Amino acid sequence: MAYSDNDRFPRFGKAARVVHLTHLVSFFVLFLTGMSLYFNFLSPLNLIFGGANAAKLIHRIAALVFFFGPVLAIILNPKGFALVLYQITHWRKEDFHFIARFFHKFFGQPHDVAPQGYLNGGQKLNTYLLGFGCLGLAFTGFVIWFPEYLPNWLVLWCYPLHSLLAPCLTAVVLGHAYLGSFHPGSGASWEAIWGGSLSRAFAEHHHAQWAQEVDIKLGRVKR
Amino acid sequence: MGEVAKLIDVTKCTACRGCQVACKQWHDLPTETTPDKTKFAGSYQSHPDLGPNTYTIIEFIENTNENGTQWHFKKTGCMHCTDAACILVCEKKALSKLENGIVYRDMAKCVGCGYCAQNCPFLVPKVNPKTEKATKCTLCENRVEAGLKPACVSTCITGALDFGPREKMLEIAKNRVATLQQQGMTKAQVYGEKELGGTHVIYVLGDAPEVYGLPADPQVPLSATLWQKYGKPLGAAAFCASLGTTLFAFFLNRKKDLAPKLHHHEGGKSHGV
Ligand code: HEM
Ligand code: SF4
Repeated sequence: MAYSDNDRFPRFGKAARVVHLTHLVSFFVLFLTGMSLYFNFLSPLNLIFGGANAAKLIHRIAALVFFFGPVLAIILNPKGFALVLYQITHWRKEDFHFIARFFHKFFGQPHDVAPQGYLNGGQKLNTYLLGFGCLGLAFTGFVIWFPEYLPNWLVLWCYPLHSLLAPCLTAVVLGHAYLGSFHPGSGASWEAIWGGSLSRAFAEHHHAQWAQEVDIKLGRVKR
Repeated sequence: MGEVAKLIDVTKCTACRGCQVACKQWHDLPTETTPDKTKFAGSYQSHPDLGPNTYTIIEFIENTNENGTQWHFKKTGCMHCTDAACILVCEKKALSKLENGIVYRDMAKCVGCGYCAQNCPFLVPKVNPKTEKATKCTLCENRVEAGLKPACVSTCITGALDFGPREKMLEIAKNRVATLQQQGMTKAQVYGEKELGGTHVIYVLGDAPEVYGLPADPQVPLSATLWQKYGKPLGAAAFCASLGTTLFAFFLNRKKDLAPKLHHHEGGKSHGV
């Protein structure tokens, strides 16, 4: 196959894309419906959902989407999940090179980048933070949802954990959402998570190693 | 009136359960209908636990020791603590402290999150799943305001229940304990004088608190203090720091053209994306 500047680099499967979207929406809804219990002065947020009791119900419905969505995606696309697991458990020096320059990137300052793989160091770190954060919120959330069936000490410790994880994880998500949506040139991230693939320009620039691997795999040779 | 208290002398209670009935009557509470609130537990006790429609029960406790078996009757309900864990965790301000020491309950503000029910050292508040409101003994704050005694106290025929200024109740309790000890109940003691900053329900117990299912040293859960006093400000700070940094980056980079161009580089220099 011939090499072309218009080549696409397939990145996310359908299951991952659909679930990323439902996860995004449910996270946002969970945040909004949870915050009135965090600070009472945020109670007006409940007006969006039709009152405190409705917000409570919606928090639970969104929680189910939030938890079972990714579970379903893993069942539907175990290979994609395995790829991510492989990536985040294999750290190379380029990953640390990237992380060391993360703030340069975040604030748009000039910096050199070593060619990155499928996930760069920052994305690997983000996967850990979001992965464990979401698991933590889901676990503590289910515990405080059903306190009557669980030991009191467990319930008591899950309250502060759920309460602390929610704003802290949202803090990480804000950075993640900024880089993916509002950082200059980040439109490409949406192409990947919405359409499934990246352009050659973006892939080669941000994931040079991976782009090369894909080209070789697809037999796209430069003439 | 300064601080008030209800005195429960378990050594005088005969388990007639008039107080249970008076409480239901004054608060206009229906019977418990769910099986778990009415199941037969193998004793004469009416309900296995307090419930959303049952603010007080007489617990029937059989205790066997070297003196043989004793049958204790212990009235259970809200202790109206000074350091009340339920107030600490209630973000909705549905629970608050009245000047006279009563832990006041404002049903209109409650959203039924159940934090109070789980964090109470005595597990007293119960959430009504139908109304999504937490309920508990109010110490009949409206009767007290009108100069009456709580409904349970006014109906007690044996003098096991009393109500009045907290200092006076403590004095009566201490005198009673002295009498009981003279009569040979060496472990008789007052419960609630110092516990949780001093409770506004005070017990005269004939034996150690544990015998009656009461914690010997009740505490506001450490998790609740960490959560409300440190966790929430910390979480809010983390959120605000992230929001501020992200907004700063947004305005800093907004106009920059950092989109990657095709330049067939070999992974060399980049210009800040
Ligand atoms: C499977 C996931 C989750 C479950 C099962 C869950 C469940 C719960 C439950 C049962 C409560 C107690 C209040 C109530 O009864 O409504 C709660 C509170 C809360 N939730 Fe969640 N939740 C989940 C995920 C999240 C996420 C992702 C966020 C935000 C990003 C969040 C934010 C909050 C907040 C802020 C509170 C109030 C904490 C406080 O009172 O200090 N939850 N959640
Ligand atoms: S259940 Fe009601 S009274 Fe109890 S902590 Fe929640 S809002 Fe407050």
